[in-house]
Parts: sequence; C-alpha cells; structure tokens
Amino acid sequence: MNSDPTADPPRYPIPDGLREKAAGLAKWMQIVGILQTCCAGLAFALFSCSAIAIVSSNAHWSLILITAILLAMLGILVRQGLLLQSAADHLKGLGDEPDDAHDHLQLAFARLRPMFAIDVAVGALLVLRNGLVAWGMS
Amino acid sequence: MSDPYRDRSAIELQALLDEERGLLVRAGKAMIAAGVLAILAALVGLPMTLAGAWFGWIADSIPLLLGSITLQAGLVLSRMPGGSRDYRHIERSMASLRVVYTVKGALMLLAVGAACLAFLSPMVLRIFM
Repeated sequence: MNSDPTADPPRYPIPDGLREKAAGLAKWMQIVGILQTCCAGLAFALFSCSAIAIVSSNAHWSLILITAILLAMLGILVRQGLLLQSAADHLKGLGDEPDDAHDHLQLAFARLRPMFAIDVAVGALLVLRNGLVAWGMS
Repeated sequence: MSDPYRDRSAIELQALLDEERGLLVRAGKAMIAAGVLAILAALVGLPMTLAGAWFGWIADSIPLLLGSITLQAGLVLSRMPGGSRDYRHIERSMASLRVVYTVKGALMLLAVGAACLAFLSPMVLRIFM
C-alpha cells in the first residue's frame, strides 16, 4: 500500500454555521482593524514629528523617555490593527477556500493570539493607571 | 492481521490536529487574560466613575461588558473537548467575539464620523456660506 505519511488525516468538514459566523466576525474585525491602523498610524506620524522637535530641542531626559514610551505604544496599536486585519482575511478565507479551511482557521488564531497578548498589556497598563488615580483620590 | 474494514481507528475522523487545538487553546487563554484585565481595570476605575458625571458610567460599563464577553469567548475556546464537538466550541467563541467587535466597530465608526464632522463642517460651511 502506497500511503504518504506526511498527508493530513481525514477531517470532519468545517460546518456551514462556523463559516457563516467566521464571515460575520471577519467583517467587523476588518472595520475595527482598518480604523485602528489608520487612527494609530496617523497619531504615530504626528507624534513622531513632535518627538523629533522634542529631541532636537535638548529636552529633559524624562520627557524624551515619556515620548519614546508613547511612540512605542502607538506602534504596538498599529501592529495590533494589522494583526486584526490579517486574522479577518484568514477568517474570510474559511468560506472562500474550503480546501484550505483548516489552514485558514489555524492562521487566523495564530494572528489573534498576539493580538490578545497586546490587549493584555494594554489592560495591565489601564489597571496600573486606574489604580494610581484611585490611590491618589483616597 | 487486522481487518481494515473493522479497524475503527483507520477511519476515525478528527476536527482539529493536536497542534491546531493547542494553538486555539493558547489563543483562548490569551482571551481569558485580556478579559480579566479589562474587567479588573473597569472595577479599579469604579471610584473615579462614581465621583464623575453620568457619561463616566457609560465609558466604564462598555469595557466591563466587552471584557466579560471576551472572557466568555476565551473560556469556551480553552475548554475544547476534542473530536467534532470542537467546531461547536469555536462557533460559540466566534459568536461572542462577533458581539465584541460589532460594538467596538460601531463605537469606532461613530467616533471617527463625529471627528470627521467636527473637522469638515467648518470647511464645508465656509465654502457654501
């Protein structure tokens, strides 16, 4: 018998309900991804100009550090928007290319994992900020 | 020699490979962490919300709601039982995520629309007035 050991084992086909849910999710993910990339990209470009002015004016090192942190955060938000768009593309591919549906599903979640990891970092920063403000209020 | 027609393991179908399931479970765990931190941030910010105006209630309740739904999606995804039932879990997780991204998308469209209106309306008025 001539069997290929690297071939995928037989799979249950991806159900239509899952394809429809993925297409619906992809539509809104794409909208959020495009808007987030555009807004964060614009803010990054504008803030880069002011960062150049801050650095060239020999400002205090703490101000330069804060500017660098804010620029890094905006860059991470741009990256998150791009990951979201890429995940949305793969979720759309689930319905468009049934032969590669499992690959698309795997790739979509491979993009979603770092995207939620960025959400974790943003959430941790929010907890820190809200905690400091609440502590200052008491 | 075993009879291939009676050997059930030879024809056993599966929904996801082990590595695929592992990836989805890890994504689910990241969703759980993101959801828990979003809820925690909203709860820690509650004193500020209580001291602030009514708008603060809305601004604080939306992350709380979205964090809860993300947490639910992550919990469903991280508890995939294996076999064909995996698809049902992925579908339920996607349905929850769809709510999150619909709300986020609608809010972002509103915010961008309002910003465009605020920036463009003076120009438009200057042209036509």
